[in-house]
Amino acid sequence: MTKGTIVAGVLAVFLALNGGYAVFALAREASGAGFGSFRATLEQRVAGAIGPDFALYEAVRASTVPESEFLFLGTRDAETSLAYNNMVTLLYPRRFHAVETVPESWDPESARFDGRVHAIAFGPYRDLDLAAVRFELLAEGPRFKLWRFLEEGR
Amino acid sequence: MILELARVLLLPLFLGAGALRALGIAPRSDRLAWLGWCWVAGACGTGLVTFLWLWTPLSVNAAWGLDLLVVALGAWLFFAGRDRPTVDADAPKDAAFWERVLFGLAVAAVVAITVQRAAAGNVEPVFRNDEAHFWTLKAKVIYHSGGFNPTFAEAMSNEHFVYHKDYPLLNPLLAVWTFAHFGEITHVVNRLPIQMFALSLALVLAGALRRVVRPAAAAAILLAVFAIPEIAFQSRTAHADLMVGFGALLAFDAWLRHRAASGEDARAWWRLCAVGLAFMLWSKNEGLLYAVAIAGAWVLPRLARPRELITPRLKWMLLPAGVIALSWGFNAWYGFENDIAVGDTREHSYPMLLVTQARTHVPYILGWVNDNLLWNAKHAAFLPLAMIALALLFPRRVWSSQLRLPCLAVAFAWLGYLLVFTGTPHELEWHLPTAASRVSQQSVPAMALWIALAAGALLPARAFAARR
Repeated sequence: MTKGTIVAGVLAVFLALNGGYAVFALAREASGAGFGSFRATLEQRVAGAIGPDFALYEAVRASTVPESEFLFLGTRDAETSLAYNNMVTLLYPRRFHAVETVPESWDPESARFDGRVHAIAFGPYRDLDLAAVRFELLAEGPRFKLWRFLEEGR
Repeated sequence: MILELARVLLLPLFLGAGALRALGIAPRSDRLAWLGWCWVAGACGTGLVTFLWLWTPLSVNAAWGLDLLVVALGAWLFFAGRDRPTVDADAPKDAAFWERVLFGLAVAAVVAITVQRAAAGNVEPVFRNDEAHFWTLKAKVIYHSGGFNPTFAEAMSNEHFVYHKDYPLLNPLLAVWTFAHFGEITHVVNRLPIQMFALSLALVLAGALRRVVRPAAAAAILLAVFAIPEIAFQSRTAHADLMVGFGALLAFDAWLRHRAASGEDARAWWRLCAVGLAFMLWSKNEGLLYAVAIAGAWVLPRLARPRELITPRLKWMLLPAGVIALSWGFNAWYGFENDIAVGDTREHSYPMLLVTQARTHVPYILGWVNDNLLWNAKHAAFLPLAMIALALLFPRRVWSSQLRLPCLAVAFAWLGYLLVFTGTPHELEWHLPTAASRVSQQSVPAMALWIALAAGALLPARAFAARR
């Protein structure tokens, strides 16, 4: 038996197993999917994607702040910061910075805070000295506060 | 909505049909792959028309103007090539009826699942991952700015907004093409032109496989590729990784057809190969890595015979070279730089990082690849291992045949990725898991074709060869 015959046999088994597994995997995928939710409206799709922060999305979208200005978002839940980053692309040209965590003691109207926070547009983290900025509160929800960014630096 | 969708999808197909006719390729050249080639050629042409339009003061919402140009270009290409002879299909294969039925069912299943994946992906808007943060956001900036103007430049100057500013433009241009037809930034339908590449890949890969290996093996390989989770993910979304891999496969398949043909037929396939390379280069920066790898694989065996390096056929490589020039020129105009090439923004250049990090990064990368990719069935269905095994078991025959160039190209591409990750300015523990799996799978379609070709060429003919 030549090397070619042996390799052919091994390859045939390999392809048969691979192909068989593929049939199983594709069949499972096909049986699990449906077209029902395809009829959802765009608003339903967006609400489904954003989840419980849909109210925040609506607040930012409805805000009368000019598109060129930055809005500032504070949240006490670090795990949801990525969801807020995702909202940036949906809301374009609206832009805002999502704050990962905000200490309870932070009072933006008097610009006092304890500790440091990370401010994320989306992408690399950068430190933002919140003692040096001023904000105007625009909206408040159970998990978020939305501020208008007035100036940076004193 | 239906009319707008029809224009978004059908007009590029019309342009693609005209472009293929100008190349000398008709539906009868390969009835399975032709529609896939149509979409690639048409999407590239549509992207070019949109790109040029965005430099003018004309409204980005003047979709009828864009349509007129696309139709005119398609018609002109068709008439320009009407006297050119078209390539005939390969001679029909003498395969058993059950094998041909099996292959047909596999193609039908892959097409159906790809369509279903596109529908499933469109259940949610484009709002996360690279499809949102790189590709579609760049399209939104272009569209909202009204084109390539000072407003666009100012919007892109914000370093926290669009990442990878230097990435090629085809993907966002197709999204802008969609926005223009709907008169606004859309959040779902702009995925469709990109999802069409997954469907096109299914057709082109099927057509490529059945040429080189018996139908049962072609069916198994086709199904294995489309069962890979990353292929499924790319089929649902508007990422560009599948586009790069598809371009490489298209060029590889066209090159094989070129080598098997003669005269005008061979020239037609060579022209299609150039289109595939151009598409690959315009999809994502990794396309340039593959192009360098292919060039290296072409040059290396010919170093002892430098006269073979220059042939008249190379003039068609001006097409992919033109895409490189266009991308580099655009990036230079706006000052867009690559985050890897400029190295660590704080201290070191890429070459310096490559040297200083090699000792720690190379073993880590090789170990990570071994632990997470090479032996992971879900990564690439063990296709890379199969390719490595065949190349190592039959080295002389691989080296002395048409298997050599693509094998070397893949090896050089993997070496290129090793160099990229070794010199990365990012934390390797973050960069590898977020990028390595995805980018390494770009070469899977081409690897699948290579395995099929090798099986048919290296092993006993009765086992895998496509009989004529």
